[in-house]
Order: sequence, then structure tokens, then C-alpha cells
Amino acid sequence: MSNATVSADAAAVPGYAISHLHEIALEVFSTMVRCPLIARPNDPPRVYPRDIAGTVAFSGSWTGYVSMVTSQQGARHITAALLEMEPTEVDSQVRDAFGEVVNMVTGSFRSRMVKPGETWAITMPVVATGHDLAIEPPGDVGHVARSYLMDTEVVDIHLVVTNLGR
Amino acid sequence: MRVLVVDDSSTMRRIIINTLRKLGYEDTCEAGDGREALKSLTATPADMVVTDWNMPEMTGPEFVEALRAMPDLAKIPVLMVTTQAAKEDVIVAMRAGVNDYLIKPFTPDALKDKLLTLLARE
Repeated sequence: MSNATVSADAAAVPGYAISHLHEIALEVFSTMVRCPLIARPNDPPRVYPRDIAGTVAFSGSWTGYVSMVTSQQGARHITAALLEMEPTEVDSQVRDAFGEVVNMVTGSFRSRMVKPGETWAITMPVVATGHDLAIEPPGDVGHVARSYLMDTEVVDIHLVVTNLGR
Repeated sequence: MRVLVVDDSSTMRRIIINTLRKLGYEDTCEAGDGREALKSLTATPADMVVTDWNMPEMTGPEFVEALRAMPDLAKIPVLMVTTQAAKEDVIVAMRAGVNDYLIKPFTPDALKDKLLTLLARE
């Protein structure tokens, strides 16, 4: 996962977890959304309207969460593609569709991370809308973010690990 | 042929129903969780059920176990569609009475293949 933006504590997140999340994000967008993601350099950061953020937490031998952030237009684009609608027809479906994509990404991440005999659970998706939304976990946690392009829309995916179970 | 789609995500229900309609199965109905699904099936039985695993109220395996315990509904074929991909998860689902299993993310063709295989058993 080269070019990933990392926090000061990102070294706490093992590289294989970051690679799993990257591969899963590409797979979910290519197979389910049918709008492939293209990884883009994070530096310099691209300014875009961060209007919607979806989060699903996981708990097992690790705890943490995966968040996805994009613009309202990006979320409409994802929703239209998932539901085989025109972007102009999309309305109230955005929250559920955006949440479902984050749910699929986190659920697949959980499945890759779980070892035999372990139990990992994930929460229901939480979707927030607003302006200039930021994923800025407080304190001493591992945080890795990766930026992608879906056509012309920016999609940022964050992995925050609050406990590595060490 | 009536197919009940059970998922707390209206998006996932719509994706599955769109695929069913493309296959010519127009008679579909939906439920947002296992309890609602059991109520719906008791009122009007379906010929097949497609269900998620992670849902409020009852998990997918709990819903399927409850379904299998109802004599009139026990034999309805069930396809589980979920991100739960570990071998242990598949075993739990099969023990609960799931007939087939599809892991998300899936391609439209993979969903079609699973649905057609299960519908052909009917």
C-alpha cells in the first residue's frame, strides 16, 4: 500500500492488514459497485467536499474501525451504480447504499483477519453527513488512510486500530 | 415461484431482487430481519429464501434454524449471502440449515449461478 497517508502511530498497524484492506476495497468496487477504484497519491492531499462518512467497527483479537469518506456526488455515484439507477434518480437510498459498501469492505476485512478459533464481530454501519468531515481518532491508536479515485470522485478509506491485542 | 429476500440493507435487497427479475423471477418479497421474514412466510409461504447473516433481531443462522423448526416451512431452500467467509462460518450456516452460501462481494454472474442452482433443485 505505497503512498498511503499514515499517522504518527501507523507503524502500529501491521502491513498485511493494510494490504488486505486495499485489496478488498478494490474488489468491492470492481465487483459490486462496478466502478473501479484507482489508488492515487495522497501527497499533496486533494481538496474535495468531504460530505459523507460511513463507519463500521470490528472487534475480535483486534478492535478498531473502517471508515470511508467521499463527497455527496461520489456517494450518489456509488448508489446509482449499485442499484442500477441514474444518478439523478438517486435520493433517499444514499445512506443505506453507502453504509452497505462500508459494511462489505469491513466484513471482508474481518473475514481476512480472523484466524481459526477466533471470533470477530462487526457493527451495523453508521453514516454521517455534513461538511468537511474528518476521521481523526484521538489518542495513541494506529491510523492508516488511503485515497482513491472513482472516475473523478475522491474516496478515502481509513483503517483505525484501537487495540492490536498485544 | 415466490422468492423472499431477507436483509437489513435495502440496498442489498434491491441488488438481489434486480438479479432475480433479470432471471425472470418477478414474484419477490422482502423483509428487513429474521422476525419480519418469519411473519411474512407464515402469512404467505415462499418457494425460496435469500438471507443475510448480520441482521438486527436475529442473525441469519438463527432465522434459518427457526425456519427449519416450522413444519410447514422447513423445506424451503435457503441461500445465505454474506461477508462471513471463514470455513467455521460456512459450517455454522450449513448446520443451521442453509442450502447454499455466497460470499460478498460477488459478481452478478456468481449470484445468478447460485440462484439458478438452488432454483433448479426445486
